[in-house]
Amino acid sequence: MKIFIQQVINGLTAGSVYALIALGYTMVYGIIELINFAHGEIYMIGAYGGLLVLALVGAHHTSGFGTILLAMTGGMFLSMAYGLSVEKFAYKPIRNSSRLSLLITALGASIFLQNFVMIGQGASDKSYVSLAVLNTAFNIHGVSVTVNQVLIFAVALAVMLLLDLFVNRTMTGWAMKAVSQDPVTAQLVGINVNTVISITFIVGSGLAGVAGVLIGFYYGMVNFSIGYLAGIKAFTAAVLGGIGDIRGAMVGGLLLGLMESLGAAYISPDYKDAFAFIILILILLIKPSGLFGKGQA
Amino acid sequence: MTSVPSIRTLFTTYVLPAVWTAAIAFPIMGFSRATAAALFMLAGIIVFTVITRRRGLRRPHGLLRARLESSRAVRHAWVFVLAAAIAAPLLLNSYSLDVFTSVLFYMMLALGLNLLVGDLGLLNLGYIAFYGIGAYTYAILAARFGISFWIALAAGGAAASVFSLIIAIPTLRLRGDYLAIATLGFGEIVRIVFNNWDSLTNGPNGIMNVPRPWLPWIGFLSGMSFTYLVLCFVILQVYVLVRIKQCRFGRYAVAIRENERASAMVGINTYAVKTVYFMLSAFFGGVAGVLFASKQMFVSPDSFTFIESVYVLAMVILGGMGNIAGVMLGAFTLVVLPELLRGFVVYRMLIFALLLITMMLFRPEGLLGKKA
Amino acid sequence: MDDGTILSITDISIMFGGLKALDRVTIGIRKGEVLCIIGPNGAGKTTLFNCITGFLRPTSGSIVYRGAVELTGRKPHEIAAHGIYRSFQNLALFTNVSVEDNVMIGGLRRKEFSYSITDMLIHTPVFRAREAALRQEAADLLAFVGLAGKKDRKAGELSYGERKLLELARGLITRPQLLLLDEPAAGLNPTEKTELVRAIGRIREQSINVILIEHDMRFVSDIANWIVVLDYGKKLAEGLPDDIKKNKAVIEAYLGTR
Ligand SMILES: Nc1ncnc2c1ncn2[C@@H]1O[C@H](COP(=O)(O)OP(=O)(O)O)[C@@H](O)[C@H]1O
Ligand SMILES: [Mg+2]
Repeated sequence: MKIFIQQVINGLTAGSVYALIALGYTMVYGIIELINFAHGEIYMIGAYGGLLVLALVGAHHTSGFGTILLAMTGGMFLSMAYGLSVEKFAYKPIRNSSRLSLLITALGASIFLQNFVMIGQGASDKSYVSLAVLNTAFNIHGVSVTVNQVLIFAVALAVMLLLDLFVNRTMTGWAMKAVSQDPVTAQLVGINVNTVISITFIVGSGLAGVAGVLIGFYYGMVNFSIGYLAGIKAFTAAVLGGIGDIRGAMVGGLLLGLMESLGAAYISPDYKDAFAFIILILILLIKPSGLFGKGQA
Repeated sequence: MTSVPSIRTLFTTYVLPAVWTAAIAFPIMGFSRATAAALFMLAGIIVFTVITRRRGLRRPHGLLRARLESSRAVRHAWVFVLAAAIAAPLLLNSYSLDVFTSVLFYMMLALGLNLLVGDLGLLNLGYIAFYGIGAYTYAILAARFGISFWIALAAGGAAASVFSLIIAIPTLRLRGDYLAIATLGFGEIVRIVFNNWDSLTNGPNGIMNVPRPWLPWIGFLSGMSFTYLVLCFVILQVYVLVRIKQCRFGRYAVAIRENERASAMVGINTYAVKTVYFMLSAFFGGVAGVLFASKQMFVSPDSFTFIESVYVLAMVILGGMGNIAGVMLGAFTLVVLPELLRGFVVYRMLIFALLLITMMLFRPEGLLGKKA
Repeated sequence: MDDGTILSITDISIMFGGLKALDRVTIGIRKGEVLCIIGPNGAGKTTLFNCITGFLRPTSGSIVYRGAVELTGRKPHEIAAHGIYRSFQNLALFTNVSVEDNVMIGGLRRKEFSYSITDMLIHTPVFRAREAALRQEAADLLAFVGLAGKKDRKAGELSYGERKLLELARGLITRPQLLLLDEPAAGLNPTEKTELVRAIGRIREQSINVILIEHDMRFVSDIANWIVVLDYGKKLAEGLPDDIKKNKAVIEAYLGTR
C-alpha cells in the first residue's frame, strides 16, 4: 500500500508536467491541425532559460521561492520567444502546403532546436542548483512528499486554472475557439486569424517553459535531448485526453503520469518508457478521439 | 518594375527578424554565435524574397527534371550510373568502399520507405524498426543457432513484414498524422525491447560475432565482394520497384494518393493496397537490416534510433518523393555530403534540419521532382 | 427472384447528430430506367448516394441490388465490384495524373485487363497485350465523351465541364450496370450539356441503368422517365416528369412557400 501511494504521488508529479506540455500540443493541434514536433524542444529551452536566470541572479543552496519564481518566469519568456519564432519562421510560410510538408517541417524544427541548444550549451548535462527549500520532505506514514513535488502540483494546477479562465472568459480565448472550429468564418467575422495562431503558440510555449523549469528543479539537471521523450509523452497525454480538448489534456497528462509510474512499479521498470508508447498506440486504435471524446476520428 | 520598398517594410521584413534572432539566440548561444545566427537569418530572408519573387516561371518542373524527361536520356543516365556503380568498388580505397556500401544500404532503406511516403503519401516515422528487426533476426538466427545466411535473409525480410502487419492493420484506418505518430511509437517500442530483452538480444551490449554472408566457391564475403553483394540487392530492388510502378499495382498507389474516395469507387480496395505496400516496404527494410548486420558483424540498439528514421525520410524528401532515381540521389547526397563536410561535424545535424525545412519551403517535390 | 428491379431501397434512414438526413425513404428502380432524384439543397440526395455506395451506413433500412445482394454494410470497393459506379457532386479525379491515366485507372480492376506477377515482372506478351487493350479502351471512351484530344493533359488542367465528362468516362470503363451521377449537369455550359444528354442517351442504349441527381427541370424532362422528389430527407413525391411538374407540393417545396 505504501508503495502504491508513493507511486501515485510520483506519478501525479510527472503527470502534472506532462499535462503542462500536453496543453501546448492540444492547443496548436486544435487551431491548425499540426502535430508540433518542436514543442518538446520548446519545453527543453524553458529548462535552459530557468538555468540561465539562476546563474544570472547567483542562486545558491539557500535561495528561496522568489528565486524559483524568477527562474520560472525566465524559462517561460524564453520558451514563448522560441515558440513564436518557430511559428513565424517555419510554419507560417508553408501553412497552406500539404499536411505532410507541415509535419516534416515540424520535424525539421525539432531537430534544429535540439542541435542549436547542443551547440550553444554543450552536449553534457548541466545541473540546476539544489535548493534546500525544495528538498524538504514530509514523511507521512512512510510515504514521502517533497516540497518540490507539492510545488510542481500547485503550479500546474494554478496555471491550468488560469488557462481555463483565459480560454473560456476572455475575448482572445473565444477567438481561439472560433478559429479552431472554422478559420474561414472566423476570418469573415473579423477575427485576425494570424494573431490568434501566434497567441496560441505563445501561450502553449509559455506553459511548456514553466514545465521545463519545474522539471529542472525536480531532476536537478537539464540536457539538450530531454525534449524528445517528454514531448512524445506529452503528445500521448494530449491524445489520451482527446487532441484539441484543453481539459482533456490536463486529465490525460495526470493519467499518463499515473499509469507510467504504477506500470514501472508493478510491471517492469525497464519498460517504463515503452508504456507511454503502448498506451499511445492502444488509444489510437481503440478510441482515437481520446478517452472523453465523442464519436470517432 | 517593382517600386522601391518603404523603410517600414525593409524594417519589418529584414531588420526586425534579424535583431529578434540575435536577441533570442543570445541567451543560448552567446554573443558571437548569436550575431552569426542573425546574419544567417538575414541571408535566409533575402534568398527567400528573391526566390518567391521569381517563382512561377519555374514551377512545377525543375531544370534537372526537364533534362531527364525524355525516356532515351533516362535510359542513358541509368546505364551510366549502373556502370559507375559496378566499377566503383574496384577503384575505391577501403575507406571510400565503406562509404559506398553505406550509400547502398541507405538506398535500400530510402527506396523501401519511399513506397509509403512517396507513392502513397503515408508518413512512417518508425521505419528504422524494420531495419532493426531484420538485423536482429539475422543476428539471432545466425550467431545463436548457426542458421545459414540465405535462409536467415528470407527470415529477416519476412519477420519485418509480419511485424509491419501488427502496426499496419490497426493504424492504416487512422488519419495520416495519427499514422505518423503511431509508427513513431512502434519504432520506439521496438528499440526499447531490443534494449531490455536481455535473454534474447543481450540488451544494450548487443549481439557480437554475427557471421558474414557465405557463398559457394567464394566463401565468406567481405570488403569488395560484400559490396558487390549489396549492389546486387540494390539492383534487384530497383528493378522490382520500377516494374511495380509500371503495372496495375503501382497505379493503385497513384490513385489512392490522389483521391481515396475515387479509388474505392473504381473498385480498388484501398485498405488492402496500403497494407501490402506497408508489408513490402517493411520487407525491403528487413532485408537491408540483414545485410547491415552481416556487414557490421555486430548489432546493438543504438543503430536503430528515431533519428535514423528521420534520416532515411530526409533522403526520400530530398531526392523527390515517389521518384526512384530521385530517392537514390537523395540517399547518395545525404551519405556523401556529411563525409565531405567532416570539418563541420558539430553543425551537421543543424544543416540537415535546415535542409528539411527549406526543402519543404522551396521544393517540396524534391530535387528531381515528383513522378506522377 | 428477378422481377426486373435493379435496386430496391427500402425504408432507409440516417441521422447526423439530431438531423434526420434521410427519413424512411423507399425507392425502386427497374431495368432500363433513368431515374432522377430532385429536391432542394440539403434534401439528402447526396446522402442517399453515399448510402447506396457504402460511404455512409444507414441507421436502418435496406438496399438490395438485383433482388439478391444486400448493399448496406459493404465497403465502397465491394459495391463497385458489383458494377455500381458513382460520380461525385464536387468531383473526385486523380488531379495530377494525365487524362488518359485517369480513365485507365478506372479499368484496372477488370478481369480482362489483369495479369500475374510474373507477367508484370518480366513484361510478357500477355502483359503488353492487356496493357494495350486497356489503353485502347480508354482512348475509345475518351472519344465517346469528346475528350480524345486532351488525353495527355493533366486532369487538373481541364475545364470544369471537361472534368465532369472525364469522371463519366472513368466510370464507363468500369463497365457499370448501374451508374449514379450526382448533379452531372451543374456547371456545364449549354454545349457541354447537350453532349452530356447525348452521352446519357447512348449509355441507356447499352442497357446501363442510370440514377441521377439534378436541379435543371428541362434537362431532367429530356432524359428521365421517372422522378423522385426528396425534401428534408423525406420522399415528397414520385412520378412521371410531366406529373411532377404539375405537383403542388413539389412546387411549394421548390419555391419555399411554407
Ligand atoms: N457526413 C455528414 N455529417 C453531418 N451532416 C451531413 C453529412 N452529410 C450530409 N449532412 C447533412 O445532411 C443534409 C443533407 O445533405 P446532402 O445529402 O448533401 O444534401 P443534397 O440534397 O443537397 O445533396 C444536409 O443538412 C447536410 O448538412
Ligand atoms: Mg448534393
